[in-house]
Amino acid sequence: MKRSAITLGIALLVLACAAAFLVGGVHLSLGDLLSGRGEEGQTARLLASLRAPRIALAALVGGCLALAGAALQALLKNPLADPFLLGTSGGAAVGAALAALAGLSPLVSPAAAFVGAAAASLGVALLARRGGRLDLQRLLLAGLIANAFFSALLLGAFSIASGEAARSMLFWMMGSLADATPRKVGALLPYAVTGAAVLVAAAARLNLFSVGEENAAALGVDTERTKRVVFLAASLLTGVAVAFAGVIGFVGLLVPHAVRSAFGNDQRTLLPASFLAGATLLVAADAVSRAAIAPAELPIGAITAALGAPLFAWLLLRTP
Amino acid sequence: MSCKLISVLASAAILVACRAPERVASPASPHRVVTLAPNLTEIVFALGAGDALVGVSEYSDFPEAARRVPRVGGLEVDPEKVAALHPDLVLAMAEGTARGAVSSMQAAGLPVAVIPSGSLDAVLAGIRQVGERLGRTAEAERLTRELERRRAEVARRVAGRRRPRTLLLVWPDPPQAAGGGTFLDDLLREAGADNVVAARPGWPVLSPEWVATAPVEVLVIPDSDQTREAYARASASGALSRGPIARARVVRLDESALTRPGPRVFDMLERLAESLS
Repeated sequence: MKRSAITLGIALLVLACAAAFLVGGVHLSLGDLLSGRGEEGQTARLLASLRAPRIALAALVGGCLALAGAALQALLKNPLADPFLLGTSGGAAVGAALAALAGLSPLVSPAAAFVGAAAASLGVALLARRGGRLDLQRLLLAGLIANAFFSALLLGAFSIASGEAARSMLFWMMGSLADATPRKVGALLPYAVTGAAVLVAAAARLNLFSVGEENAAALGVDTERTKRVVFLAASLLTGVAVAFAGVIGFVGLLVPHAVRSAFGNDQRTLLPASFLAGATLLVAADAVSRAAIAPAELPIGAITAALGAPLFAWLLLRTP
Repeated sequence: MSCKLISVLASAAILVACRAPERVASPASPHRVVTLAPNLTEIVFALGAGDALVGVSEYSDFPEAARRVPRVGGLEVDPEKVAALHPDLVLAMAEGTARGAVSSMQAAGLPVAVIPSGSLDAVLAGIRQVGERLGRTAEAERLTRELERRRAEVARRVAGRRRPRTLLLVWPDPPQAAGGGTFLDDLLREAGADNVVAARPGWPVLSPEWVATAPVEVLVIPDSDQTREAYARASASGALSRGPIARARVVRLDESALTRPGPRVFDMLERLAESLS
């Protein structure tokens, strides 16, 4: 592991969080927050209590998505692998949309999204199995099919939903951190830590995948078990990210690329650094979303896509 | 004969068969009318032409008699259903979401009239336009003159009053407000309120931070069985539970009358002006 990469990642994340705390559609005065009495102090504390959990949620969701993407790219040896491409996010979105359509309380939708993500991963994995082995080519194809199917389901759900329900659903689908609460952050944290720990622990084994699956097996890696564990952990991270923040694209695809081009392809560095960089990216994107067109908000998915597509094109051009 | 030739001939036959029919102008007093929005249904009834309706949009529930007219779809209008009713006049909203359906109906030669609703003036102009198309100019003139009189009366009453800073939310989660250039912005201003999001055009979705810190004195919300629970939730633990807005005076106005740019919106104008006095 390159310590410099991790240190730099942490420093950037802290910087982004501090900046994001001071940026927004409404001015937050640190003086009022620290010493303010009366109305100014109250307003400052209110803003801080809204902004702090939102920044924390942005960091966790960004980290989860980027780490899931990095691990899947290593596993599939395919730079296009991404939780969205493999259908996991689509499954999560369908789960939450169906829960909303069934009139279930909004509190149920994270659970439904997680169930959808898990079901999608399982379905895609089953489709990709061949003779008891997870075939990597088939996995990508199965993800493609799953995505087409989930888009159709989502379109159907929108058509059936009544005007009011569709409004909340559409907003959620675009990805939003607007209703972040300390409780949500607390609920997301154990999943994020578990998934991240499993993936970082698998980093050394993932390194051996890059020399080829047969070689990895020859070097003593239980390849099937590694594939299953990594696939499930990445699904868990994606599912909870979608459950708590809706569909935010490009983070899982983009961040690992950027980190790889800066620090190389050693998974022991790449995975934790991707988590930190993904967290930093989403914290910054959320600050832009809050500040750009106040008192309204830009959808965060639009920001990540607007940043992501050109950067991706640039990375593509740089690659020999 | 080669396959190519067959397919060319077949396409030609289809083209001839599908050629757009001559556009039919609606008669001077149509008797098969379809409305594509609930406010248009209300206008037709208010002009005394409810009997001519053969199809209405899904949410047309006022007046009571409108519930018995066949439905042609909600936000997604089904052009085939409309065509099957052989209407001699189709009324659509200019600010609606069914633009695709409207243009395909126009292309199919249906006599579609597009009625404006983007301001209170536009609502009155729309009533006059519907009156012209229905051959009920005198009724429309009488109705709009009466509405204008009530509107002027409200203006006279609120003149010189202090204008409370007001926010009108059309939906609480995420909070979406009536911004500038909408008929509800007109309604707020003419009822003696100061719309705090008048500077933002359209229907902006507001950020939680802004909602929590905005100096709102009066909160106007549309009230119906469908909206009540969502607003209660937002007030208890959501976007409306923090800051000045949580302490603001809440004015509840009937949802269907408030959010549909039809004649009843002027009832709401009077009601709001009265609540603010």
